[in-house]
Amino acid sequence: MNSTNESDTPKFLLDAVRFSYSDGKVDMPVLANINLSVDAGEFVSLIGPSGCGKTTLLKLSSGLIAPDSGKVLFSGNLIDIARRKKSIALLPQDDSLLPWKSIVENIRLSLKIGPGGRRCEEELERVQNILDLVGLTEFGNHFPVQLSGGMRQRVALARSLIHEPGLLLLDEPFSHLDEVTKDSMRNLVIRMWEGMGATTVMVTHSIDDAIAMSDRIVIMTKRPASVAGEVELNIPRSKRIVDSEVANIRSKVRSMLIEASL
Amino acid sequence: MIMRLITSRLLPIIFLSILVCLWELWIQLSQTPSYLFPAPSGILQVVFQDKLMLVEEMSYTVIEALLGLLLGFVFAFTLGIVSSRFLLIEKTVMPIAILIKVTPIIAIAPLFAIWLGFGILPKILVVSVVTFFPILVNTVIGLRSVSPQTLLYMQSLAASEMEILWLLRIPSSITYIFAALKVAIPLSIIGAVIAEWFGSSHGLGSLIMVSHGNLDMNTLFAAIIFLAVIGIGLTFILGRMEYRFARWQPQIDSS
Repeated sequence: MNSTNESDTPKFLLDAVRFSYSDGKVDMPVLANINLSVDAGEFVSLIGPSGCGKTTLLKLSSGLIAPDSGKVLFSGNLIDIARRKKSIALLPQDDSLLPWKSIVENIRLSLKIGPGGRRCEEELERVQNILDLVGLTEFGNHFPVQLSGGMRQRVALARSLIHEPGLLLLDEPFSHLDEVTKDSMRNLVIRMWEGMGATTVMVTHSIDDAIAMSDRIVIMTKRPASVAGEVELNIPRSKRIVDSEVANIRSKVRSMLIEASL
Repeated sequence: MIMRLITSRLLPIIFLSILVCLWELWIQLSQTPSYLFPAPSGILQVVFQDKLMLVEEMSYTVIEALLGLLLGFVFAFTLGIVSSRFLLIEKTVMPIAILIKVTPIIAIAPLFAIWLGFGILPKILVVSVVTFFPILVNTVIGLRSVSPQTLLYMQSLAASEMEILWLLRIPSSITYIFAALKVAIPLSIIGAVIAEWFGSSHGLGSLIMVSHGNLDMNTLFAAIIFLAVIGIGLTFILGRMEYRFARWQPQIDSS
């Protein structure tokens, strides 16, 4: 676990969360009973069968929908309060950049919108700094259509992190990328996460992504989802590619995932 | 490059020139009287002789079409914003809008002349009625056609409804609005001409009615050519505006 911010109090907490979608006549339960505690600065990956409700869980975690019962808390506050304080950042599946805005303007958008949106010109320097960090210094005045998929995803990461969120939510962020780009994106996300120490929850289908990046992997059951189990990764990230123990973890996660899907 | 220029620009001009030559030849050989079907040479003679009169009449039609389009746009766009936000308003407004759309404008236009007289106002209103529907429908669709992921992202940052409207929904709807305007511009000219048929002494529509009454087909055809010029001119300006406002889209071509 990242030790930049040690605390006994769980930073992010899903406490007996239940959620159903309703069409007005029938309730379709999506989340049966989710209990999840993520420590401050911890990187947790959620993995589960297709359609088990991972994205719904992410929407609940970002305060966009409210649970039917249970609580979602961040730093002791209800998650909606954290959202209104702009303490949360969401990195969606696709880059979700606004095609009519330049890269700089796309990143500045995170600072401009929402409560306490800032409009001062000094922010440009901050945008330039984060563009340097994601290796896109020269591309500030380009439009998203002029960039490759990997570059756009780096812009999206910069946009998510520029307002220094306490909670970072990643929704299958590498699913549209090729293997080489995915590797460099994983390294970039880890580097930036280590620098900022944000509590991070990543929803993914990829066991390899989860193993490469997480402190802990939480496996969910099929719908209506609950937590089937979890695996701690106590191996330094730098050794995870070569360590033979990784193969055992991969196999363990895979068998737990298969079991959870039944 | 040269071949592309020839195909895109020159070929239509060459084709049109051949058609005009064949038309002229047919009229001359068949000795068709000009009050039945005028020759291109006779029409061109009127265009050059009466160009000042034709330009003056055209300016009336252009002003009516543009002011009516502007009024229709403002009304439809505002209502589109409200309807896209409140389903109840959309359900209330849409049936009325469809009712107006399916009623032939030629049946409504005389009423405006009876109620509002023979000035410019009834013409502007007729144009705004015909252009209103496509702009309303496309505005509602455009405002709703936002990327769900981008919407989710903005909501996660606690963006207000106003910020989402201004920064996401309206820019996302630009291509839909330009598509609506491409339909609305020819409609605005049709609306202006029809409105001029019912009680007007100015405009190309009025000129067409007078020429028709006098069996002056040369002037009637000259008026039609000027109507085509308005349509082409406005569509060209719209194309430039679309290139200016939606150039981030790879498929937008300035030509």
